Amino acid sequence: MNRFSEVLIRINRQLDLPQTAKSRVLLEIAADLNDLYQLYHERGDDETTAHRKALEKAGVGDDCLRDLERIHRTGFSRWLGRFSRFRISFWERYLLFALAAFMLLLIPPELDRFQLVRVAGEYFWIQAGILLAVLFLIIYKTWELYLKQDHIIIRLRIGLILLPFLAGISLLLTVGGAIGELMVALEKSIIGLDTSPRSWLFLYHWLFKHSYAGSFSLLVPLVALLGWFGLFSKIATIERAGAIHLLAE
Amino acid sequence: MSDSIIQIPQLARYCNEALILSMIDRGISHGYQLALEIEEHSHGFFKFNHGTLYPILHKLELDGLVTGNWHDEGPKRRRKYYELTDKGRDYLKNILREWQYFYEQFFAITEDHGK
Repeated sequence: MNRFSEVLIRINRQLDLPQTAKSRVLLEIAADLNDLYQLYHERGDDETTAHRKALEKAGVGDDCLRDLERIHRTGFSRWLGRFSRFRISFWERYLLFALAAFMLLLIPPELDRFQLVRVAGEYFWIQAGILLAVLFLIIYKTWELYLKQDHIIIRLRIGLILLPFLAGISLLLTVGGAIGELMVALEKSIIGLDTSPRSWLFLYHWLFKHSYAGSFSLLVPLVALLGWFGLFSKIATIERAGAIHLLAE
Repeated sequence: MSDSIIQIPQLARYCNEALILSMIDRGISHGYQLALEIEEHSHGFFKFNHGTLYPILHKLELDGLVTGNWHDEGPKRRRKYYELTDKGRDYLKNILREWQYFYEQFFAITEDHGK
């Protein structure tokens, strides 16, 4: 452990920055503290005195941390910070929730007017349900990462595996449903009792339905996997950055 | 000078910038050294805590006036070294010229005091 671990842990807790920027700052402070300690020790001070002098000379107080936060926060992250649960008021939260609920109630009936929805039938709604679950998970994890800034890795990873899982379910449904309905259509058109040309309409209907359903359905695993990849990469970056400053001597 | 870099309400900031950039230009490139060297060269007149130094250095880096490079110096030991960029050299030249002008104007007003 670094001899200045206590101070570095305090700074880590107080400094309100994304973990990657925070780790770089901490590394620099840790290196300077150690250099100052070495300098005072070589000049003849004992370990305790050298340690105290190094901390005094470093002088990383609250003002310094506020200045560093101001410098390292980009305009976008400053704007995002406005939506942190510690800053958003009760009425603003209530309004955001009401807006989200209104959108969720309004959208499905409107969707039914679109041809995609009418032709794809029940498959659309199943895939839409999976897409909603995927989007909810991505939004929740993004909120945890960027607004709540919960950088406890175990908590961040919880639920992340659901994204590729939901992508898999969606693909299975798309392919399985298409094959299943193809069997039914073939049975009706070739093997069925009705051998008139009209029976071939079953196959045409299958093709039509599943081209619509498939085009929407492929969107769902794409969004899920992209979301998973983005979130996973960000969490891995945080994990790596956290390890760097802990390993610094 | 109406378009001067140095703005009177932020004299301390421009003074710190000039001192730090001058030291980096002299080859003093490591954070902890900068504070110590400035104090030594000024015979204790200018004293920096690293708490003052870090925000200035990081701001200079963000503005492109210096670059900070990490060097590995043995196991689990990394140090950050600062270097002036070309933009930083131009800025230093200009700001020192303006400090020169500042003091000329200052003493032009004050030098006859008490005579």
